[in-house]
Amino acid sequence: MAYLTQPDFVRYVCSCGQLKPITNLYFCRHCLKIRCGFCICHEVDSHYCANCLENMPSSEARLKKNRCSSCFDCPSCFHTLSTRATFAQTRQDPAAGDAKVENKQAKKMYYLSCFNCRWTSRDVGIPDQPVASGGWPERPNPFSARINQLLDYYKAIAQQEKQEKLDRERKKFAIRGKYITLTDKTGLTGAMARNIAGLPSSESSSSAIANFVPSVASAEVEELPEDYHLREINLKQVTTMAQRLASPEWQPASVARLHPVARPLSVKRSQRCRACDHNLTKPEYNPGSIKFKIELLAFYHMPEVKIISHESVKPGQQSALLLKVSNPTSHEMALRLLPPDHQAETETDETTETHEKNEPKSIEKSLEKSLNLEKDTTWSKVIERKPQMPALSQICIPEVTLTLAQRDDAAEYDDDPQHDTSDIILWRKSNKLALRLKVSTDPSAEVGQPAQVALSLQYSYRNTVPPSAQSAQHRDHTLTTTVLLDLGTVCE
Amino acid sequence: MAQNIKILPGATVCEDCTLEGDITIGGGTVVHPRVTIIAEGGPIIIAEYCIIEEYSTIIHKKSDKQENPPKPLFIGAHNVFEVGCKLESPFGHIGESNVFECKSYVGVDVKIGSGCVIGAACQLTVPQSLPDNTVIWGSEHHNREALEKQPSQLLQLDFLSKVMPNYHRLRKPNLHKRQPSRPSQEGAKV
Amino acid sequence: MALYEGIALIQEKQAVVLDLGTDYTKFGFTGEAAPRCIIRSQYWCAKERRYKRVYDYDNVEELYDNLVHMLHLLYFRHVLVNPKERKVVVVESLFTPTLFRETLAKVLFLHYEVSGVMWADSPRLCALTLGAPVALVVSLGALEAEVVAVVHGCPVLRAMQSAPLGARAVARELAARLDAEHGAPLALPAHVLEDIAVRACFVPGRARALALAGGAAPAAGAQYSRADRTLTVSGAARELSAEPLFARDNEMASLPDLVLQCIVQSPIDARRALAENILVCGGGAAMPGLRARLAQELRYLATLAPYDERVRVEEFKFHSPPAPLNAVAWVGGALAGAADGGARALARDAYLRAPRLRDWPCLLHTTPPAHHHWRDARDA
Repeated sequence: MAYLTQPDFVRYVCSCGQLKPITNLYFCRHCLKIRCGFCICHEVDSHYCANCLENMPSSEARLKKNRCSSCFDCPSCFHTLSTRATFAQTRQDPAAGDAKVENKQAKKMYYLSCFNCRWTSRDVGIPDQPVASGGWPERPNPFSARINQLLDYYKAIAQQEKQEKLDRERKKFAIRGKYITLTDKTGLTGAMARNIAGLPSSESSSSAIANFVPSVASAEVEELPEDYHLREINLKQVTTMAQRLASPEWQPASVARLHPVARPLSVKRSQRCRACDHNLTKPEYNPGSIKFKIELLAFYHMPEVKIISHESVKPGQQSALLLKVSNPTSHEMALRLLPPDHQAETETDETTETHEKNEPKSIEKSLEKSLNLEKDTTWSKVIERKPQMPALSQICIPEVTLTLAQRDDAAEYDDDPQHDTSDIILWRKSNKLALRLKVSTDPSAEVGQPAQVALSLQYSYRNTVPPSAQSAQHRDHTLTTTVLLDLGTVCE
Repeated sequence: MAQNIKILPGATVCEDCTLEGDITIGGGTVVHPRVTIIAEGGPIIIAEYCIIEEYSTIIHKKSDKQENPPKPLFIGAHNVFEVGCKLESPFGHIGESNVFECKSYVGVDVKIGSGCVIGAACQLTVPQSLPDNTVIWGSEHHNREALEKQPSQLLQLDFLSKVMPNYHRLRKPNLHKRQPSRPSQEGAKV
Repeated sequence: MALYEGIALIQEKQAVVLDLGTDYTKFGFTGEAAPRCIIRSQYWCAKERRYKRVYDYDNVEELYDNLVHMLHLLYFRHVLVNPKERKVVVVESLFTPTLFRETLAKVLFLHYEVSGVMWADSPRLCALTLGAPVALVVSLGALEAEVVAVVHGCPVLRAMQSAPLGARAVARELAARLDAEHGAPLALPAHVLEDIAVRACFVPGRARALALAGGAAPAAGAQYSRADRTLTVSGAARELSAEPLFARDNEMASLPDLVLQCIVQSPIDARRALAENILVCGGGAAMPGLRARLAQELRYLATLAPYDERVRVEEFKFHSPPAPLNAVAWVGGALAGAADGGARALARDAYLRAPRLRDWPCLLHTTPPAHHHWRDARDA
């Protein structure tokens, strides 16, 4: 259960130890583990413009500096600019005479305008354009020429350094070697020989170094005009920090120097499990589509827990807690409730089980695994977090195994709940189950503290991955997950 | 409250709106249905070619330090009041070519020049005066100065005055003698 | 530019340059003249439902989380490349805490699996943008002013100076002045104070500052309107907010003092060259008039004790960097990263073998190989 504007009341423990609502979790069908955004690998899939929804190949995106060529953002309020058309009377040359009378019709001219703050490209004196898209004047970076000089210079130095190092090594090697080459004998290096022969040196590097002019300091510092403090200041004419930083190259200080900003592209990401390198999500290529080709989201695979209601938690007392558990899979699910500390033990079971399962895998796979092993351990050690488990309140766990029917879309229209209720089952409806549980709170709990309880769910899971040819894979697994329920604060 | 609604020829005023007090509506102005204009503190004079959209409210508030006879609230030409905006003013003068965007609110003690834009949902409650061509937008009330006045919506006005009679009952213009130049004379008096 | 972009396309992967500042983060590609983005060093923290600053941390884990989220934002929202198998140039202050460096290394190498990281200190990178052999880098950041002499590519560590005289000091003074003028604590949020400082404030020249202290009429005020109220920023607040940077006390910790002390503590044969190659950079230095005032103060202070005897410098000269002031260090990083193609970077496999960064305060990395401590250690 997750909300956009409210705190998350039910959080699951991810395999990396992070607490997240179920909507932020993924389920790797190959490792049978919960994954979250923190412990998976994100990859850039495709670039697109979020305004015009045009795809852009990544090489082109790189050339265009990740900016859309047809959409612009307002430099004043960062809203998207719209193109507006006006009819401009084409100014006719009086000398041109009547030859172009039919041309005298109003010509469509375009300018950019912001519907939010009413900024227009005319405000800063950008001339209207005859075409609707593109063609807007581009500003060059005022420093790019100097930066290029510096780049040439430092590249040449790096090149020279490398060359010297190479020469030294070659010399060392050559002296040790049996054969004496001509250049060694005469003490000539290739570059020297070329120099003597009057040929241009092998690299143009030396010229770049020789021609480089270092920056010259000056004693004159640009001072404010004498009467600066007497001038009236209009803050509306000075740009804000956000407006300046929207174009890092120019950072205009005056509103009159604002230019439309080409809209930055967005990316679609695919996500990958770091343990087994399988894709967890893979979006569709089309930028207009919000669907996925692969989406292993946790709420398609794990029992979802929601809090229906609960009595306020009081120290030293028992309070009722109503939970709804639903089974999103298309297989029947057996469910057991366990105390949260049970998890550690079952997890080790789990790992041994997966190990067994892994063994019959193809040799390349296991080889790959062993190659990756080093990396994986360092990685997981860094990321692992121990979630703080609440100790003050506990759920009284009933010793029963429940079954949850598979999801059935048709049953949604079935009104009457099945009445096989018991003291813990409140009602049951297709793949949903309402549980009546008791929360007992320690007398030492302080009023006003957050009241949380943890609960482990052991559930049966049928893996629907098509089994690989060689191995007779288990299809049914018993998995465990821990959820943390937020029950407000401890009351009096 | 004395009902004294003057509608000049050329104005399009829907019947389904609340008009109370001494109100003058200039020629060419379009008043959409469900508009509330209440002149409780003094007359309201709306000049030519304004658009007053649905659910907008213009109130001339009563105030304690009112002069006698009360000063009118004069709203200049070419103003646009978008859907759901609210203007409360005890007296004063609203310039020309302003845009009051949707759900904006202009409280008392706000003086508005010409060519201003009050952005959507901007609540101007602090006493202030907006110089000409001020644009205000966003929850933090960013503001800037536009170079020129907002373009007038003549095409839209033209369209509205043609289409409105087809779908709404209109109030008839009840002032015939003087031509649309009257509001500007009124303005000159103010 | 186009030529280098072409080369970058042929090269396997263009490295990225990361300058994680206290307030603003600069991020972009090597070989380019400007960063792709300059954004606030903060991210939306879903857990706490607020924008969280990267430097807001109590322990390593929190810092790790902050860095992971911040880098995710930078890579996938702004620069749009895969971090994996790509080199990074990290621009850092010489005063970066070890904890921060080590955590950043962990995040980059282990979490994002970058192929190499080049750790470069900002004074050296700033000097790189000049191409001059000797430079005195005065960098005004958000928190601190740092003055470092860079002589032939080497920062003079023992002459390094720093004091909390950054943009925050200006904002604090501005807040105090505005509060006093309005007679009540206004509790303006930091971004509003920054906005006022950036748009309204300036640094008067020395003569003008003296006149103001003598009771001259302050400059014209400015109207700053916000949603809840319209503030009047008085002329005094506009002119005098940057005065803390120049206020001298017995500690001699004003900005010009820092510069002069750095020169005094530098090797004697480099002092004149340093004074003639001053580079003022950092976002805090972008205030109108600040550089001119610093020059005037330096010229005046150099004639007073204790500097008149020790700084025998005829002239102070200033460089103007080929980049906006807040991105100078970043541009230096972009140059350094592009020049040698990342040959100086710490490779990922080297880090995995020995997860330790070279650092100047660490004796392991700064003891010369011939030093007897090494022998002693071997014998022991």
